[in-house]
This record gives sequence, C-alpha cells and structure tokens, in this order.
Amino acid sequence: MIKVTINDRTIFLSEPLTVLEAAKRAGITIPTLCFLEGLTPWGGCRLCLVQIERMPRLQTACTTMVADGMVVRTDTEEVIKARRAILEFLLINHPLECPVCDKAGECELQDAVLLYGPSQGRFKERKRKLPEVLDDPLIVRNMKRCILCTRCIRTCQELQGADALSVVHRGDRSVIEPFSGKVFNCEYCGNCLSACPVGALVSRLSLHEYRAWLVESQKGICGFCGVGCRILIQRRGSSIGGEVTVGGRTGGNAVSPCVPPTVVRFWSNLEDTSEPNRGLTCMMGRFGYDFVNHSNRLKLPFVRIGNERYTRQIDDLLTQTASHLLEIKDKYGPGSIAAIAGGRLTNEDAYLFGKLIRGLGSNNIDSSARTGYIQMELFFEELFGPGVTANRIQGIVNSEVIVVAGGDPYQVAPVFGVHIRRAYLKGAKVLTIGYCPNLRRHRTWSMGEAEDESLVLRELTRALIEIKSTVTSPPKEEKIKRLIDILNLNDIEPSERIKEIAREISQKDLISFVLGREILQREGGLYDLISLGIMAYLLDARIFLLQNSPNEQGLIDMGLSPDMLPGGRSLTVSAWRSHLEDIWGFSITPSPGKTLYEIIEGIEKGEIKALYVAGFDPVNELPGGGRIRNALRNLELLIVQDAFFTNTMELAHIGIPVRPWPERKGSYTNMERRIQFFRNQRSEVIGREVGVSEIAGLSGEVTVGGLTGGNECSPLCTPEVTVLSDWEVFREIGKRIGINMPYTSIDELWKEICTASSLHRGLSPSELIEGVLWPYRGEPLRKTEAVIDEWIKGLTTPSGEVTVGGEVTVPVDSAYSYKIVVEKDSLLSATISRYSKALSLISGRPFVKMALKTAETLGVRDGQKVKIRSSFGGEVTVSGDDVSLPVKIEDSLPEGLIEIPGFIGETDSIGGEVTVSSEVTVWVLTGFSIGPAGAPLMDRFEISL
Amino acid sequence: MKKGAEWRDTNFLTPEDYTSLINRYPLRSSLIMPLLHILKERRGYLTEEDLRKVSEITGESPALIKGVGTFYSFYNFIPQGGKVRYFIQICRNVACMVAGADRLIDHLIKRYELIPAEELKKTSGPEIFHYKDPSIFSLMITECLGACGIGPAMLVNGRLFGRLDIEKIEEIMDSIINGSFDDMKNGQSTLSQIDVFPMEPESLLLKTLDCIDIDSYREKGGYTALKKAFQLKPEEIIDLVKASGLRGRGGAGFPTGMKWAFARQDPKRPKYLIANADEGEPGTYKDRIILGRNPHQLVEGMIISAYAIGAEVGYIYLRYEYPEVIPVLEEAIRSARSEGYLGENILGTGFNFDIFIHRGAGAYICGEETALIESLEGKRGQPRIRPPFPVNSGLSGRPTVVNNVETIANIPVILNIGATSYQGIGSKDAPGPKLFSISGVRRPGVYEVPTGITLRELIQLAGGADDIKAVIPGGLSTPVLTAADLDCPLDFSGLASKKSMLGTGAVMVFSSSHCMVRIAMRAMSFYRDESCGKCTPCREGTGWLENILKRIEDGRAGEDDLELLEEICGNISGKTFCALGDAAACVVTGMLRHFKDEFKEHIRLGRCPIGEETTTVTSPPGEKYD
Repeated sequence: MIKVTINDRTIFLSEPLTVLEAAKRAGITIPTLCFLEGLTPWGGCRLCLVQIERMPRLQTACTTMVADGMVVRTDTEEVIKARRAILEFLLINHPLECPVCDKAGECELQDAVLLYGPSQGRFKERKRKLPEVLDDPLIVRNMKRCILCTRCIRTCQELQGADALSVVHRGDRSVIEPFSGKVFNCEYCGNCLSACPVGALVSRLSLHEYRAWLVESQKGICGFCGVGCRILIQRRGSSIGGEVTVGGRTGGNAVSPCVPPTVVRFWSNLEDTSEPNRGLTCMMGRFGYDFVNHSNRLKLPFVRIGNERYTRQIDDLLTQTASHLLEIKDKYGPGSIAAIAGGRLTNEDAYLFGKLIRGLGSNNIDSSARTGYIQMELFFEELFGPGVTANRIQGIVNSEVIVVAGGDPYQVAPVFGVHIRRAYLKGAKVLTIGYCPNLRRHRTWSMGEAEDESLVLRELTRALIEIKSTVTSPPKEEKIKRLIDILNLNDIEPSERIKEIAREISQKDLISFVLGREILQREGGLYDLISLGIMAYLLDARIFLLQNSPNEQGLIDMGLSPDMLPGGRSLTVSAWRSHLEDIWGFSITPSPGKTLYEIIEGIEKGEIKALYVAGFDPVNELPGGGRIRNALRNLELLIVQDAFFTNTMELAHIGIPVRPWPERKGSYTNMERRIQFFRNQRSEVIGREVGVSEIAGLSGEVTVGGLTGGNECSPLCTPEVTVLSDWEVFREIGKRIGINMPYTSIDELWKEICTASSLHRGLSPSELIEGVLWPYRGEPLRKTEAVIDEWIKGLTTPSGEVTVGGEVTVPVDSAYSYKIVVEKDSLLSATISRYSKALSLISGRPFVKMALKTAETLGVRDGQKVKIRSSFGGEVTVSGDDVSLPVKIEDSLPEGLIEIPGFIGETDSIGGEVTVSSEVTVWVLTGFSIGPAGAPLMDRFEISL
Repeated sequence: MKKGAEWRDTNFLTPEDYTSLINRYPLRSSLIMPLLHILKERRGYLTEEDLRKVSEITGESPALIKGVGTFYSFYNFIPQGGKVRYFIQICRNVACMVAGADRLIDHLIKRYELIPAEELKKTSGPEIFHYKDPSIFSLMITECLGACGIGPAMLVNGRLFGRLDIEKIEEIMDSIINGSFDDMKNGQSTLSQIDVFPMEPESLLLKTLDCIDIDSYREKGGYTALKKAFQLKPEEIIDLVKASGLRGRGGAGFPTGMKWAFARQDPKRPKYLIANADEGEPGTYKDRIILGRNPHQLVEGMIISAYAIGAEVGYIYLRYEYPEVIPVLEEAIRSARSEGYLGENILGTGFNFDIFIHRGAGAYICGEETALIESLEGKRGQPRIRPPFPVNSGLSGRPTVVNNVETIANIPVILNIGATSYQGIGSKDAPGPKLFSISGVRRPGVYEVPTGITLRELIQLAGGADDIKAVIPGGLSTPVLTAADLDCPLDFSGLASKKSMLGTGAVMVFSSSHCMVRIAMRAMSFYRDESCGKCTPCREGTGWLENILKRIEDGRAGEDDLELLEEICGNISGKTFCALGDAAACVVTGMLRHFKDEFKEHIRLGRCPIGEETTTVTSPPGEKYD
C-alpha cells in the first residue's frame, strides 16, 4: 500500500499512480492543459505544478509518481502563484479573441484563466500574429491560439497511429502543422479536434456557426459502420416550431422536420474510455454527418407508373403497398414475395420486417449479411460454439498477435482498424494477409498483397499443423481433422518465411484473428475460411468479424434469414415456430426460403414477383450492378424503403422515405455483439413519432383516381413532411395486411421482442442505452445445422468426388497476371457516406493506381487514361458513358497489384458543389464464392488501354 | 578533393548507402539526422521531396521528419537561389559581440547590400541574408561557434575565421565575390588559431596535445591507461573513478563514478556510452581542443568508460559547428580500430566496443543529456521526463551514460596517475585538472589548471585584463560576478558561495566599456532562440524577458520594468521542464544583483550610459511575426 497525503487528505493506493491521478482519487482537482487521459504524459504546460514535501522545486503532478509517505500540497501560495504565472505566460501570445472563437465556452484555457489566472496580463509588446489557415476543407488551423500542449500530436501518434501532425520549428516560433503546412491530407479522423483544449484546431463544417452554450448534446451511436462508436451529437439549439438563434441570427420556424439545421457536430470525448471506441471517431463519424442534408434525400413517398413518379400521401401509399403485396400473394402465392434487408435497419426494424414478410407467408427474406458476415459467423459457431465471435472490441488491444485477412480493417471499420494499430504500438505482432494499405505502418509481416492469398493461408495452415503436431499434439477433434482432410495440404510446402512466421505466432498466447467478408468474395474463398478455422483452432485464437454496416449482427439475431427465426432459432424446428406463432398470431411457413442470391436468381427466373428492399441498395452494393438492375426490372412490384433516392430506388414502383440514423431512435448490434440503444436526436426535434392518422393532414398533394393523378414528384424535398422510421412503416403496412402490430412506441415493441426471441429475453430499452453484450442475458442457443456439410456438398464435382486442395483456382495465378483490388477508401464507397459533401471534399479523384514497375510492364505511363472492364457489367460507365480513368503511379503499392476506385463521383471543382451521379455502375465488390448451389458469382476486372 | 568542401564528404554517405549507416544505431529513426545532413549538403537546402525520401527510408511519417528538420538551425528549408557556393555563418553571441561582431555584421549588410531572407524570418531561428547574386554567398547570423577566444568569428563553408575586423572580413568577402577566395590559403587551421596552454609544469589532460596520429599518441604514453584498465574488473574501475572524486565537466558536476555505477547495475542490455561533444554553452571552446587536437585521449577514455559500464556502442554527439574535427576523430577511431583498441574482442579481452560520430544540426538544448538522446534517436531535441534517468532508460530505452568530452578525457589520467594522486589535484570538492576557455583577456585561449584556482589567478595567467567590470565564470548560463569576486576559487562550492556556478569553465571577462544591458539582452535572445518550446515558462518567458531588455536598451522602459524583470525571472526559475529556462532567468537575476544601477541609469537616460550604439542585427522580437 502506498500512503499519500494530499492537502491533508490521506489516501492509500495499491498501485503506483501519478500525483495527478492520486489527487483525482482523493477528490482534489489539479488544473491541467497538456494532460489528456490515455496519452503519455508530456509535462510541458506546467500548470499542474504542486508542492511536494522534501522536494525543493515544484513538481508537475502529471509526471511525478507518488511514493509511499509522500505529502503533497496543491493549494499553497507558491503553487497558486506558479499557476497564475503559467497562465500569464500562456496569454502572452494567445489572442483574446474569445468572442469569435468557436471554442469559447468549452475552452480549457478560458476555464483555467477564469479559475486560477491573473485578471490582467502585463505583457506590453505585440502578440505573435499568425494567420488562420483555411487551406483545408475540413480542419481550420489557428496557430496563434495554439498553446503547444501537443495533445493533437500525441493523439495522432499514439491513438490514431497516423503521425500526420508535428511541431515544426522550435521555441516560441513553434507551430503545429501537417506535412504540407496547408492541407491536412491525412485520415481526417478529426480526433485532434477533440484533443485540442483551445480553438487552435476547429471543424470547418461548423466554423462560426454556434456557441458552445447554445448547442444541445445528445449521446448517440454512430451508424456508419459495424463498430458502433459512441458519439456525442451536438446540434444548435432548435426545436420544431421553436426559434433558432445562432450568433444573432434568428431563423424562426424555418426548420423543417426533415431538414435539420446545418450545425450538427459530432463530438467524441477522448477521455471516455467506455467501449467500443474509447472516444475516437473516424472521418465518417466525425465529418460525414452532413449527408442528412444532401439533395438526394427522399422526402416524399412516391409511386412510379411507367417512367413517371407521383407523390402520395403516406397513409394512402401504405395502404396501396399493403394491397399490392396481398394482390401478388393471391395471384402467385406467398413464395413469390421476397425481401432484402440492409445493415442500416435497426433491431426493431429488422424484427418487424421479418414479422411482416413471414406474415405474408414467405420465408424469402435475407440481408446484406449474406455477403459474407453470416456465413463466417455460422462457420465459426459450428466449429467452436455459439457466441465465439462475440469478442470485445477493446480487447484486441491486448493481443500479442493479430492476424488480419479478408479486407483492410481500417477501411471496413475504421476505429477498429485504429485499435489494431494501437495494439501494434503496444507491441503486438501484426500479420496482414492480402491488401491492407492502412496497416502499412503498423504491421510486422505482410503477405499475399499482390500474390495469392489462398496459397499463403494454406501454407500457413500447413506450417502451423506441423508445429502443433510436433510441439504439442495433433488436433483431436473430429471436425478439425475433417477440415484438414478437405484442404488436402499434402502437396503444400510452406516457404521458409511462412514457417518462421508460424513459429513466432505459435509461441504467443493471446492471438486474435480479424476477418473480413472478402475472404468469401473470391474463388476458393471457402477453402480460405477452412484454413482460418483450422488455424484458429490450433492457435486458440479469438475471432473478430468485421461488420460492414452498423447492424448486420442485429439482422441475424432478429431472424432476417431464410431459415432462421428471431433469437437465432431454426425455422425448421416446429417448437420454435409454434412459440412464435402463438405470439404473432399467424402460422409460419415451415420450409426455409431463398437466400439473397437465390432471390436474385428467382427474380431472374420470374419465380419472384414482388421484392421489398429496406435499408439496402442492391444495385449499388452487390457485385454486378448491371445484372442486378436487369433482374429487378422483371419485378411486378418493387418496394424500396430508404432515406435516399438510391440506384435501386430508381427502379422502384413504390418508394418510401425513412429517417436516416442520425434522426431516429433504435438499437444496433455491433460487431462485438453489443446491443446499443440510441436516441440520436430528440424525437421532438425531427418530428414526433406519430401515428399515420396524424400525418394525413400534412401532405398537400391531391391524389385523384388512383395511380394516375397527382403531381410529378421530384425526389427533392418539400418542407413540412414528417418522415417515418422504418419500423413504423412496417407496422403500418402490417396493420393494413391484418397482422397484429399494436405498438405505439419502441418500448412496447421491445416487450414483444423479448418474448418472441429467447436470446433477448428480459431486456428493456433503458438498459440497452448502456449497451448489452452477447448473450444479451438471453439463451444463446443457436442451431448450427451442419452448415459445413452443406457447403461441402456445394464443392463436389458432378461425379460426387470432392475436389479440393490443389485444384482450387485463384483469380491471380491463371488467366490474370495482375491482382486488381477495388479501393474502398471508405469515404464515398458506402451508400450513405457518399452523400456527405464534407467527405467528398477530402476524397481524392479516382485513379487507377499501380507501382512504377507494374506500369512499365503494362506499358502505361502516369496520367494515361485506361478503361476498366468488369466481367459482369461490361465496361464501367458513369451515366452511361465509358469511363477512362487516369493511371497514377504510387510506389507504396506492391508490384503486380492494381487498385481501381470503388466509386467514381463527379466533382465540380469550380463551385465546390458536389454532384454524385446516381448512375454509377462501377461499384462492385470483388465477388462471392458461396453462391446458390455452390456456383460462384465472381466478378473480375480487366483493364484496357 | 573539392575546394571548400573537403570536410563535407569525408564522413557521410549517400542515401543509397544508408544500409551501412543503419547498423550504427539501435533505432531506424536515428538515420533521420544523418540523412538530412546528406540531402541538405547536396543542394544547400532541403525540399519537401527530401523529407519524403527520408520518410521512405526510415519509415517515419513525413510530418514527423519535417518536425525534426525544422527543429535544428542548420537544416535550411528555403532555397537560397539554388546551391550557394559559400555559406557564411557569423557569430553574434556575447563573446563575439563584445569583441565587435555587431558592428561587423552591420557593416557587412550595408557594404555588400545584403538582403534579408524574409521568408525565413517568419519561421526559423537564425537570420539569413542573401547577396544580390545569391548563388555566390549567403550569410547566416548564428549563435556561439565555439571560438570565443578568437572572436569575432565566422565560418565559411565550415572553415573558421577568427579575430575578424573590418579590414580582414572585407578582404575575405571581396575575394569570395571576385572568385579568388581560396579557403585553404586564406584560412588557417581553425584549431591552431586557438591558443592552448597546458598545465605547468606537467600537463595531464593535454600532455598529448596535437598527437593526432596514433603512434605519436602512444609515444607519449597513450593507450597505457587502457591496458591498465583491462587488468581491472569493471567494478574496480568504477570504484577508482569514484575514489578519484571526478565530477562531470559539462556543467552539472554529477559524480562520474556514481553515474557509471547506476548504469552498470541496470541489468538491461545493450548499454550505450555517449560522449557529449555538443559544446554549445556560449563562451566555451575547451572540448573542441580535445576533439580536434587530442582525439585519442577521448577515444581511449571512451573505451575505458565503456568497459567499466559494459557498453558495446559509443557515440560522439558532435555539434554541427565543429566540422573540422570530424576527419580528425574519424581518423583516430579508424586507427584505434585497426590497432585493435576498438571493434570486437579488444586486445584479446573479449570486450567489444565501437564508436560512431553523430552530428548535431544546431540546437543548444541538445547539450542537455535527455534532449541529446532524443536527438540521437532522430527526434526533435526536446528534454525527456525524468525519471527514468538515462542511466536506466536512455537511448532506445537502454541504460545510457552521457559524459562530457572533458570528463571522459580525464579517465585515462585517473588510470595513469591513480585515484589518490588525482584527488590531490586542485579542490577537494571537485579535484583534478580543468580546462577553462577564457575570453576578454589579453591572452585568450584554453587553459589547463587545477580546479580551485582563483579567478584572479586565472585571469593573470591569461595575460590579465584592464578595467574589469564583470566576469561570467562558467559559460553564459552562470550568473555574472564583479571585480570584487575575483578571489573566488573556481570550483563548485566557491562559485556557489557567490551565487554562481562553475558551469563549463568558460570565463568571459568584461570591461567597463561593455554595456551589461546589452549583454543581458543578447544573452536573452540566445535563450529565446534556443528554447525548445516544450514548456510554457521557458518558451514564453524568455521572449518576454528579451522584449523588456530590448525596451530598456532602446530607452522605452520605465522603472517598474526592473521589478517586472525580476518577477518574470522568479516565475520562470524552478518551474521549467529543464535547466535552460532556469539559466535564462538566473542570467538576468545575476545582472540585476550586481548591476541594477547600470540598468536604472539606462532607463533614466533612455539610452546606453556607456555609449554603445544600437545595431540593426538585433531585431526586436515580435517583428518576426508581422
């Protein structure tokens, strides 16, 4: 025990702490500026000077460790004088422009001066003048305000791992700069903005737009990816019908329910160590929020007849939707109806969507999780048991070894990628398999960047089997033995390097696998998954699955799968069916429905007549957009429900606008399987959750004579319309179909979910606000019925023999000499973030990137334009025109690898306005390997001159 | 060999050869400074491209490289009209200033119509002036060049010219402009310009002065100490050094044996030894003599030190301003290696040790040991939080001993004469021979004397001085003394009793014709320029002090400014991260302690009572940012 006395208060500590931390425990506040929880102490500002007995000089509390018997005083005259002196020094060159500084009111320097500082400074000469730097589109750098605490730099280095900032020059000439001195050109996580105690780094998006004391703050959950970051959403004070007053401007009642005011700041708190993001954000979470104001927001419900779209009153439209669905059901049977959900739906949405579709008698419901996430989860659960992928996100930081495969974690789930970097900085060994540009500076080994990833995986598996067989014991489990047989590794001879890596990995204890869905999006992907399964078994690894959208896990848990019911219960087990039937009040079709791919095929074959798509943009998000587009044209009824006028919505017969996540309530289940409830904005701000009858009066459109009347609808906004949340839409349609959906609030809905799903038993929305981890206090039983057996069937040849091992073809080695990867710079590749103007400002122009040697072999030069051809969609086009993209030589790329853009936007550089083409067909993932009946849906790209 | 560049290409390699450099360091980032040196020397300045190149090689981010590059004074980032043929650095620090440097610089600027490099004024420390044809020469006004005995001094492409006056400097400049400049002919060897006076009757530290080649060093008994050392156990050497009473000669006076013992006891390996040759304390040029004219004594001392602490790699952190010693040191290290004193299995003992030179790039703070280690790790030279101390966690987190060059040069002496005899030399409180660099006297130079000699004796030894008003006893950072203090013995306790310090043993003598306000102001602009910027009181306080001193100098001050000065000094002192801020503050408090009346007179008259003119080169702070 360490005994410390601070200001006569004695405390006992079991571990050595700094004086600052000890004082905090004793309830004594010591002022700080350069100190920030979680960063290495700096000791530069000197504000935390304290007096310690037997030490001649004052000591900085943030850097001095307590010793047993230490007596500290933080309140002596000398200490107080020193604090005042430090603050007087700081104010020498700090401009007192608080009236125009965005940080005023939440500025730590301001607070410190108020509490401890002199009322007047004695510096008479001119302060240093440095101009505000407005070169960067998102971050304003105002170095005359900077107090050189270096919190931004340490955040960038130690937390983000980006090293994009540095102090340049020295002494009182020091300024903090990105490399260029102008544009940041960094990852734009914006965490430096959170770190800055003064107004030296502020967001340009809200520059001079607010006063700290006028913003409303709301804790929320970010909906951009599967990490589920906790964020603070701040908005300028306003409410519907209220007055908006910002900086003297009065806005009256101008705020419409679907156009929130422009000042919405996402503000993370670096000191908040609560999981999963520890106060960190990524560029999307930080700056991408302005998508809510994009002109492509769908504001009014519409029906399309021929090429014309007509607006409808929402209640009319919902009635019409219900009757059309019933019509199709009557005409073609319930199996002709299908539904696809996207990971942007909340748990509540997903539950009701499933209930609605099953209420129509169809089990043809699947989700975007089918693009890889669900198969991987089922595979590992079958091998290792339910919940095996539910590992806490923060836990990755403690890993000794991290193996990354199937995608760049930073691109898929940026903050999780940052945690991997933090683990590396803490000493973890990181092995990346495949193209992983964002871990370039944070990995120990890199393999299979431009080469065959499958081969790397099999060699590594082979090497590990050999080590484990000799060092410990060969795998005993029958399942694993079978997998090893399937892989047929006999002809595989691992390289020396791989053997070395395998040896080093196998000596460590805490091993984590980080797996992305791209594993299953290439030929032979299933074998790669099997390799990873064997390795995970041999190494006793923790498995983290990268979740692309915020709620794919929630969709699975809520039973949005053709063979699964809420709670992960198998549809084919009658007991579970009847449990639900009792609650739902209708009978559930006992045979499993079609998967995502089977649904697409079913549409192509004409078996499926009606498709209901919610929170998903198949044309954009599935490979072969052209093929999907053609398929969807076959439908008699396409209902698309989204916040934006998406590519898929263009084909819709019925378009239903809903609120995007920043404007609504609900819960997401993130990749660590934590349910987090959010009220991202106060409901009264955007519009109350009202019943449809209340809405009826709001729409001014007149509809006469069914489908023919009304005005042509532009998807652009007309004000004064209340938009529903997804679950409310499902409820209203459900009611009209005759399904019992009596809920008036999410709380009531949760009551039913907790009864229907034994996984969610006993949960309430209030406890979900803090987040509840798997198994959510329910019963984590899950049927994993021989998933692997089914897949293996898919791998058999017509003769019934299993063809495995050396016969797996991989796209790189045979017909194609180069490996083409689709860049997912995560800015504009996703359906929502592409609608952010802020993000479009920092995303680079599209290029076809390659190393110099690759270009020389191909015979292209820097700047030369080349065409991209997709094996599905033909040539890549934007708005029907061929796209030629310029080549860019980047030596950081490995030889033999070509990176093509995942998204091609059109930027009008003159006005700074961005128009995002809705016609882009380039968006294609790399493909799928687990298609229906084992037929791979695989997209390949060619590059032509 | 290229004319005027002979010192440049001897030591460093091309970036392509960096692989041979990398084996010298435990950290890849340590390559940053050597690479920046190489790239800078190619063109005379650095570009963003260069920074990217270094980033690629070292794996550190470009922003970080930029932060490192801009920290030091001598990496130029602004093209001065392409590569200049002659880069001239002229010293303006106190010793040169009182010898007339300000007037000389003023004259140069007017006579040759030099144009200030405006773009640099805004950002970097030293002031640079271009000639109208910038490809011919640029002039940088810089801080102490370590030639205080021969001030005013300047470097032309690294070659030192001392004792300058208007006639001499015009001759050099004219020959540069008309193309007839031949630095080999015109410039004497830097080192021979500095007078050195070994101890009488028998020298200990400088017995082997000018024994540049290893044979002549051995003829005078060189490397015998090493052989004696190898007959002892490392712990025995440490005990010997402890018994000798040797205290560090770099300023702080920490007992050397104790420092070694701490490092030896730490079980972590490998361990490092660093010879601190960043002799930046204005007024000091003693180590330069050891480095350039007695290199083997340093090398021998380093080998023994390393053997004692168990270090396998040693570095000489050499200040940028001493380029001429590089070939000398390189040759000494090379020949020691070829004779088996360095490298693997030294003299069959199984002990391995090698020495590398790491060049600084102009930063006073890098003389502070933790800042020096940061710099050696390729970072901005900012001091580290202590504890942990370098003896436990230094270079790359390993036990590291940083000793001053002179301290290490004492080691062979101790081995040769024994601890008892050594302890008998000079003061009890810090025994041994001590080198003093003296300026402002009739015979300035480096003097080897026993510690404890009085100031008066030392000045007399150096030919005496007229009309002594003030003496700075131990380098600019030690508080000033007056003529009344001349009988103070030059050791730690003697000077402490006068509220000053032994420091680096750099004695600067000022006569009544020198303005103390001016000296204080000049000193303060030095500290302001050299403050690393890490901590608030030093970063902001030194500039504020300079402002007020400038105000007094210019006659714009009031009586209350003296109180303010004292209060600011009190607010800096004891509250800074390292000793630089303390030094800056105690210079002013020392001045005010003894010369307050002169300050008051300055304020009352609104001008210098002694009649020193204000010069243009001391640009008032603050204007840099307009």
